[in-house]
Amino acid sequence: MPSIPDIMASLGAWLAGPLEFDFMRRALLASVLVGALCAVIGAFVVLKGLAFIGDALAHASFAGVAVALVGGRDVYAGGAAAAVFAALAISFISQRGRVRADTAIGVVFVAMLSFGVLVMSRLRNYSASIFEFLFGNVLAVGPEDLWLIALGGAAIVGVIALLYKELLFVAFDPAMAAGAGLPVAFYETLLLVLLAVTATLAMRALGIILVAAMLVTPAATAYLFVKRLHHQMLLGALIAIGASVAGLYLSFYGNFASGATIVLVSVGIFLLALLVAPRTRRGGAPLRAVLEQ
Amino acid sequence: MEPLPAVGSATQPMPAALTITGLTAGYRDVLALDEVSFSVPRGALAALIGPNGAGKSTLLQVLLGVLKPWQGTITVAGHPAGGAGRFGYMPQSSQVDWDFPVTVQDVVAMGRYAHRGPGRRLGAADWAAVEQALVQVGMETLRERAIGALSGGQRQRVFLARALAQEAPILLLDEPASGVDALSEQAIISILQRLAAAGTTIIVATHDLASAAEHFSYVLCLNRRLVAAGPTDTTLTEATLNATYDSRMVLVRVGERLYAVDTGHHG
Repeated sequence: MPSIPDIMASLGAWLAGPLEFDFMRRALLASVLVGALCAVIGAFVVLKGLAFIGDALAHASFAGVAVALVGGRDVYAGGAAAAVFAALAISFISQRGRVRADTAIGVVFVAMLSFGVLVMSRLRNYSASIFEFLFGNVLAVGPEDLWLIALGGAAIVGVIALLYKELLFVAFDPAMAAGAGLPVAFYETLLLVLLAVTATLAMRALGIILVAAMLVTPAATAYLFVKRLHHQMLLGALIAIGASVAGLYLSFYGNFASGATIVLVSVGIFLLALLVAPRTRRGGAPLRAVLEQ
Repeated sequence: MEPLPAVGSATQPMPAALTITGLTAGYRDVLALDEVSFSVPRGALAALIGPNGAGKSTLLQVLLGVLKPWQGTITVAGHPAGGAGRFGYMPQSSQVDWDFPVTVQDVVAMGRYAHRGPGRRLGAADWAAVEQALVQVGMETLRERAIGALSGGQRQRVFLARALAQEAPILLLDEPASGVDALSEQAIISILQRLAAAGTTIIVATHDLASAAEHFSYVLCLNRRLVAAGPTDTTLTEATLNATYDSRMVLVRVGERLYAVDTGHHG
């Protein structure tokens, strides 16, 4: 029977194994940063039902990525420009109120994704590039990518911290926020722009299809346990960090795709949380309200 | 029928806190408010009454600045409000996301947010106002509770406290008594009466005609157009009510209470 020091030693070796590689150290840092960032802004995504928008913005960024690749420009700049453009377009269309917001989102995102595929189909080996951008390859994160994720993520979290009370007010009660004199449309648009930049930063690590999963899952898990918004952000970030680390190790030893493994681990945590989360505090209220009407 | 003469007559020497002129508004191309004009004197406790679809909510939305009017002007204490003035607001209970992760104190503190610009934290004066508002509605012991865990009456009192903490010159309340027991309703109304006596102008959208007649100093009768606006005693008549509700109602006074009894079908 192995002794406790033996187990500790082999566990240590198991944990240290991937970290011998530069690319794995970068991958770990990138996944952790991207996961935490997604969870923080994900609190708004979960509370305001923005999952479809988050997904759409990530897909829309593909148009910019494709143009940047073909034109030999920076893919992050291209992706961010396209995603921010989509955010502004969605915001403009839905605030005008001519068509339902989800229709506007659907049209914008399909158009931009198709345009991206169209542009990229001019490249040789385009299907390999498309796969990498759609599903992510955190192992390909370079030192510059890591810096960009760290600085961009810090900027987004900084903006959220600075404007926390305004973003909370507008998210919780836009009517009163407007009555009190806050520029509600500005803050709603700002949130979409932050979401667009987040989706672009997460592109390398998670891929544009899996970004939406990390925007929703850790924040939704945290939501089950908290009663204040900033607690949801903090707990969500911790959950995302845990899922990223666990997911990356599993993908390393199991030779699985990293983004998908991280997402599946965070979904697993969510399902566990559903079983153990307190039921009485808020649970059932919406259903009861619906039934009473 | 002829709109009754509006407001501000010789009996009310106080300056108007809120004046609305020729206000027309709607959603997409559906007209909800048609050339509405009235003014409300400072310190009035005004009941905004009218049938479903009369434009009560639309009027509140326009005042809050959520909905842009098609035409018309809003002036607050003589200054153009430009749609988004400084209004306190208590939403209808059904409009609130009770599953949002905020505590009682978080919600009341929102009343102070507009007092501090972006990037600035609440100060000692703000927290004092929050504290005072919590005490005024008797919610100070429940401050740490998530709003979703409150009873119906407690929920309303939290939002009333938020409106109090804001110290706005004009308060707008949307059906504050819905889903509330009689005791809580009485508590809400007596707080509103004290506020009005201290100079706050209050507009309450309500379906409760008896309460309007008994507790409110002023009524605004709306049915897409303004039917009447004025002091309750002279304005809330059978003729006004029937014009407002397209109905044949009779007002019955039993002791202090006034009851509106519908004697015919709605038009």
